Amino acid sequence: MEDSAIIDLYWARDQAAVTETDRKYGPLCRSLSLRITGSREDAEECVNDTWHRAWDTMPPQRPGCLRAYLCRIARGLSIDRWRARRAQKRGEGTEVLLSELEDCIPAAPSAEEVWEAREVAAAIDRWLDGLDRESRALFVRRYWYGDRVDELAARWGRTPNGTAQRLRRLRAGLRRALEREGVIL
Amino acid sequence: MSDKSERLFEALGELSDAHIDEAAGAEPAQQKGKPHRRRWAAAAACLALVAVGVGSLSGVIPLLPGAPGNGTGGAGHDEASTFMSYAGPVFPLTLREENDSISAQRDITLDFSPWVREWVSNEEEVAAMEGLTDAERQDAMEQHDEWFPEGGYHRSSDHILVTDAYTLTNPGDADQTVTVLYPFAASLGSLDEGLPALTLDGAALEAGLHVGSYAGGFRGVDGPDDPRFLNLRQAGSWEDYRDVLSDGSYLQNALEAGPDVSAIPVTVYEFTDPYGPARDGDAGIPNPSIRASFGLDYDETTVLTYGFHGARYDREGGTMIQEFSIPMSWGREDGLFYLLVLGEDIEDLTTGGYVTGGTDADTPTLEGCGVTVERYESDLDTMLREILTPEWEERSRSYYQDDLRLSIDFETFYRAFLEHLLSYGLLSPQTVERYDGSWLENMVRDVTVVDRVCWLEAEVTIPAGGSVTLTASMTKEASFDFACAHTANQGVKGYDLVTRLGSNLSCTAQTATLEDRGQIQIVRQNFGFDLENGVNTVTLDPEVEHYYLEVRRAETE
Repeated sequence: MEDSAIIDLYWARDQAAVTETDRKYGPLCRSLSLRITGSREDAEECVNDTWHRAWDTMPPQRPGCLRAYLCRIARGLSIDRWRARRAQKRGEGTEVLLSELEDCIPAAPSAEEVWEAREVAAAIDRWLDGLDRESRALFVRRYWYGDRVDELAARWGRTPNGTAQRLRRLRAGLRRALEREGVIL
Repeated sequence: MSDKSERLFEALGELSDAHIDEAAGAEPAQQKGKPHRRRWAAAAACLALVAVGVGSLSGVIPLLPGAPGNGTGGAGHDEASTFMSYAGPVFPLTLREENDSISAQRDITLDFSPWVREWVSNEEEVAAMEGLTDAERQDAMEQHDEWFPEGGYHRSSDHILVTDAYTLTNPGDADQTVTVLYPFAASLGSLDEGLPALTLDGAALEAGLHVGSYAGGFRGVDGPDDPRFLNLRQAGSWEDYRDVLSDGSYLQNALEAGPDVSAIPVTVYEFTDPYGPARDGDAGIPNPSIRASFGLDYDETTVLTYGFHGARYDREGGTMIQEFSIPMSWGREDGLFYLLVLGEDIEDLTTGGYVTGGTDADTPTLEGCGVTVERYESDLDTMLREILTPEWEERSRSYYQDDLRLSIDFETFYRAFLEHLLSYGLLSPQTVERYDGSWLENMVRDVTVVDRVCWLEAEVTIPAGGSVTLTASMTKEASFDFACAHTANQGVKGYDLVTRLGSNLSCTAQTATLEDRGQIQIVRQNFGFDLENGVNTVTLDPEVEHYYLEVRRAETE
């Protein structure tokens, strides 16, 4: 079913909206959540919660891109779930992602006021726009969707080591870009 | 790591839809090999019209025996907790053929040694990596030093080691050879983690594997009263396993040959070599896509698809649309897409290019794109093997995520897939809503992760008037509640066993021993262990079907 029709179902308060959403975007959101939480049970619950959140927010929302809208909800819920379980040392994949993202943190005086998340994201968006398409997809698949390095390597026909090096260069590039923009985290 | 990296990770959540959507379209690489068949329609251009033929559907196999209902779990639950994530009990050994002249003593040990924290240095971790060049090893070392600047990390697990030993006695005056079956709960994706190792008097015993069908059911999104079974309801308590094992039909099915679908004819539409303009949002081509539209009578035709990721089903109008994004140079290396038509053939197949995905009627068409469509007759077995072999190969690779990685041969995987398809999918008389679409990929993942009971089978000879000891050793996962749920069982881990469920073996005695390693405090149990007073071994009552032990980590230093 086309996205606009699914959104119409939400607006009509027709519960088939959830069915159609799960049919079309369930696998993508489960995969995304699984990578962050590291648990299929958590992922299943996060996806269920995503559908509920979608139900609660449409209306009034009418997202321009339903796929990104749902993935964004699923990602946020999955991070919350991962945080809650961090004490149990589960979801180690996200720990590794955070370790890597340390490379991207710009140097800045600690007394400065931190930027809003939305402002930081806008700066990253601008940096992404300047990349070639493959680099852009590689970065977003790794740090937004949480894909593993070896999976990315297989996807693009590269070695894991080469892919890790490339991601490292991208992280260094992002750090320089954020520093240029004066981003404070 | 710092709060800043977490803040950055969170800020990434606010990236623009365009970047998120673009990366989502980067599909995993598909198989490179393609079957060599005569192309009946070479490089069909957009909006090519395809002729159709006629087939018929036969050989549909009914719902597998033993599968539990789709409600909310069995009745008669004991005082044990119902955990949100249930690992399944330790089951007792059974014999393939009942044999009253063989008796057994069972001694099971629950060993908490994996709970002991162990320091793992970065050097040890990197040294254990195989096949690295010097440069890669140096790189890995640098990476580990970044991740763990303290020089390493503490590792522990909430798994336990289970040793389930049976002293089999033959009081007769002739040697007896029996076939033993050792059951264990697992998913196909977790088989290598929990696979028991069998030994006979200390020597490794070769064993074959039998895989049972899905041991759970389905549930609605909105709880038990929701009749639309969109979610899996995995086995959640030992009673769920009791329900599937108690009448013996589940085991019988696992021991028999799998379904045979070679007699089911299919008409195949194979789509290859799609091409078109590159994605260019500025030019109004955000997601160049191919749509396949056709007519069908939903009562007479079943369509299974592979590779497509958008669809519209119009049962009343008698039409269906399937669509996929034209693979990009950095995405899928070689797109391969199938329509498998069972029953009456589809009609008036047209393919067309569109500037974006979805099936909106007003989406602008796209010039300069096309796909090769080949139509041929085959059978369901041949086609599913062709489609699923690359899926199995991909999911068997070492880098695949732990709980989704396959460690079984193709035939075992294929059988499990067929049973799921025929029990719950479009070829089942009771198709569940979760599978009422046509995409085979959705079922592949479920087949990998759903709970099952599996059996190891081995032959054992017990000498006349003598005994042998058969031991199953395994790592057993814990059952637990999700921490974020803030239940009373937060931090509590559960382990359980059943004394006679599914077993025809006559046990004269059963004991359980707890090797707590100073790591646990007992929260709830019905074994009778008393750590303070040194009661670590207890005799089990065979009349008690289920024993449970629930613990949390002991406070130390």
